[in-house]
Amino acid sequence: MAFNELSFLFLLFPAVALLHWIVPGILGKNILLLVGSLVFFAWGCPEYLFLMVMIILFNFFSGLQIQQRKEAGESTGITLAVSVILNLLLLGFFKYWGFLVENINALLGTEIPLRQLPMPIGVSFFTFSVLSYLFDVSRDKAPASRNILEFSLFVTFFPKLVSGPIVQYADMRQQISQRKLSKLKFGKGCRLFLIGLAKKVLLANTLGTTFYAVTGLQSDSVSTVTAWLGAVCYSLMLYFDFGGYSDMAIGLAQMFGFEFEKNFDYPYQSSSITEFWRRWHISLGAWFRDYVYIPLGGSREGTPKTVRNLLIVWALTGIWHGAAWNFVFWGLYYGLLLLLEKFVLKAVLEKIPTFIKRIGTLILVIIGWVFFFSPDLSAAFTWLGRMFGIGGPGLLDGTARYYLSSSAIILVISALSAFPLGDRLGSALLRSRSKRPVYVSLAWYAVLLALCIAGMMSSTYSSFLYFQF
Amino acid sequence: MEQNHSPKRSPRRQSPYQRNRRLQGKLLKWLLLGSIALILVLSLLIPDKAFSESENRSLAQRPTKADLLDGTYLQDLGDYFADQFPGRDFWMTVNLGFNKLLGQRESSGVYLGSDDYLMQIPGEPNTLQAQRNLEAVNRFVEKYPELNTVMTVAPNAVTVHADKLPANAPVRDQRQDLAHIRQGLKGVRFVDVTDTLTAHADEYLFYKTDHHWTSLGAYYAFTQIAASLDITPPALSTYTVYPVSVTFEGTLSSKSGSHAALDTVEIFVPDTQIEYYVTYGDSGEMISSLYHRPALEVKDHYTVFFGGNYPRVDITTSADTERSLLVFKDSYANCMIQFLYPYFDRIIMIDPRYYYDNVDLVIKSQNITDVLFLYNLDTYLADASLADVLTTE
Repeated sequence: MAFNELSFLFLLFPAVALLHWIVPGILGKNILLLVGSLVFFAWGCPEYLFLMVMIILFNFFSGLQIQQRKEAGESTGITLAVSVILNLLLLGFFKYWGFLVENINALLGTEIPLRQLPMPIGVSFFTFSVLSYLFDVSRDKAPASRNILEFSLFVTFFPKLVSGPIVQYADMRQQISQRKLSKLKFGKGCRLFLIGLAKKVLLANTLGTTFYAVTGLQSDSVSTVTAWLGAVCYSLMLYFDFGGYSDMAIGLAQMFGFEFEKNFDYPYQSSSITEFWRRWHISLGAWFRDYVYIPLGGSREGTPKTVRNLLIVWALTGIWHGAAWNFVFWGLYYGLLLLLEKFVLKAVLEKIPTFIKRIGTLILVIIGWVFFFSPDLSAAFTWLGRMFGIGGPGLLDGTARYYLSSSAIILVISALSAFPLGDRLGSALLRSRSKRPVYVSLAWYAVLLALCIAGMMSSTYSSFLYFQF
Repeated sequence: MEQNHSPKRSPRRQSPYQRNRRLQGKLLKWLLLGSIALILVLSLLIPDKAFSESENRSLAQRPTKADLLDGTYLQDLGDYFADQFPGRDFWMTVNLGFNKLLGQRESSGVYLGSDDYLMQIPGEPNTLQAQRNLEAVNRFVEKYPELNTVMTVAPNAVTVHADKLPANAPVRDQRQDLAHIRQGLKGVRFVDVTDTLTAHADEYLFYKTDHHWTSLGAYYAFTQIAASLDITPPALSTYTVYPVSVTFEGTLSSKSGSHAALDTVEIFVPDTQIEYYVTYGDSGEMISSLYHRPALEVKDHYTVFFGGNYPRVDITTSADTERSLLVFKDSYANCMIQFLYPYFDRIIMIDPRYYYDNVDLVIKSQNITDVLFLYNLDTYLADASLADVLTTE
């Protein structure tokens, strides 16, 4: 299930919100949120509900055992290692098994049969949440949970279950047992949810129509402008899709009293790759920093080790995004750019004006997304070739004109929305002594909501066409 | 936030900004929850629909307890809610309008052309099948050299009414596809009607909301095919034209969700005393009309021609020309027969997509003298059945 489905917005969400309001006491509310989260999870894949319960129980008891051994002064290494490996194996089975088998078959010429199971929704995200728990407990960042209800809610809490943010246990622990609900928070949450919904349904999905049309073209009819148009549409689409979803997640959590850190902070205004990754998918970057990079020694043990650590982190970041070589390549591409930025070009970059650095960063990021959206590495290089005039029907052709003209408006709106202008404008207007800007903003959000409903509705549109040709 | 001393601030000590944000939050809460509540109440009050005219499909119904057991209950509930969503068609129209406003010129594989023209975007051809079909037709001609075999593959609206396409819209070059077919054929009289149709492109040759050509479009094609069949085509003015529907909304309307135009379906009755009857397949049912009036009561008014596609339809006439025509066809041929019947004692239409019997037997037993392959290009290039029917032993 996803937040931009009609059945979530009009069935599950109001049911949970209403009951959360009626049920008294934090215990009752937590039980309700857990049940709601399990229904949310089971909506898409009921067959994995039992697996989810097992994951919760296993990690709950692992946490307790780590805590126990620590209190007894024993080493926690083996317990931690076993628990972490089991979680990773599960993730590996669902996400990487097919990739692994394909590569083994290709390398050794074997024919290991492959039966791919559908992934449980959010498996990449909740596995990382759970891992953060095990590490936090073993490192005294937080005590092990002794309350199975609270722990279950931490793992399955539906706003963050499917697409994050990857909330670390230490940051959520206290909010589960004691959090303040307020009308102010609920209102703020509603606003964030509506903004996120509009980003996803109105911007991302509209950009998607152009992106999918353009990438569906025959490779020899992709001109330079078409290739750039596709890459730019994808860059914006991915940001509004994922960023919008994160906004909805954080907004929903806020309605139920939880405060999560923002997951995106206008990444496309970054003036360096380092800055970009501080602004893009912040919770994932933080996770890799806290649980991989720093434990490996971070940047404290000399340049060679720092280089090694960065490359490990970025190869992992790449493969986390998808089980294919182009994702590994994409991760290492960022690893190398960061190394260049950190060690080689530092002095040069300091002299370049910020404006130029922003444009340069943006172009490098857009090029990176080509590896992300292409089905494989050779397709990615073909597309990059088209972007730089290699092959294809030249700079600009009729096809490019058609797609440019049909996406020009949405591109301008999206590009403006990728920068904090609207946010600042809204805040500035609300500083007025008058209440009128509030009512204007209400009308604005009402229009957005209506258009979102229309968009959500239309995605379920499927005419049955018994084509009588 | 600087004056955030106590959790319960009195409204008077808020800055205008805080007060406005607070008011905004409150209003947005009511906006979101109120809209949800309103929609829920409406969906409870409005009775469920079984069928969507605009989408041309059955709508999902309330899931049963049986679904609860096989684990699909929640999914089915979601589908049911979406299909019975209040104002479903209204929201579609809003969404399409919004997308058009943003500059979109296509919807679900349909170009939104000028003058409310909807045009199916031709798909990528199935090259292998197309080659198989060509070879099968060639073998057929080799096998029956005594038959007069004619083939016409009609271009689609995107080619004929190209001036109605959105500016710069990328379209397959159908002329090139047709040239390719012509080159691949041996011993077949291939008639390319593209130029004849485009010469009349300012007339109503294709429906605005449907993927078929109009009777007028078929007429112009007929005037060109006629020579290959040794027919002298009568002038357009000799036909009596009856508009049998002015409210036709075709498949492209359903597919794109655009309901901006209604089409007129016309039938062309030739000036002749020749009588005929129509028999459908093996049923032996005899009807004295090419036209199927009940079609005008249902959604697809194009099925007024023969009531749709059947594996085999025979038209027996009193023409007494000692010629019999075998037509291998898709639905484009359905409105062509009204022009052809006065010139043959018998016309047998075979739709290879639904026909599984032996063609050789038909040719021998019915004294076939002429054969016409009549398709439209988009279907022809994706068709996988013609070769099979022609090579059945």
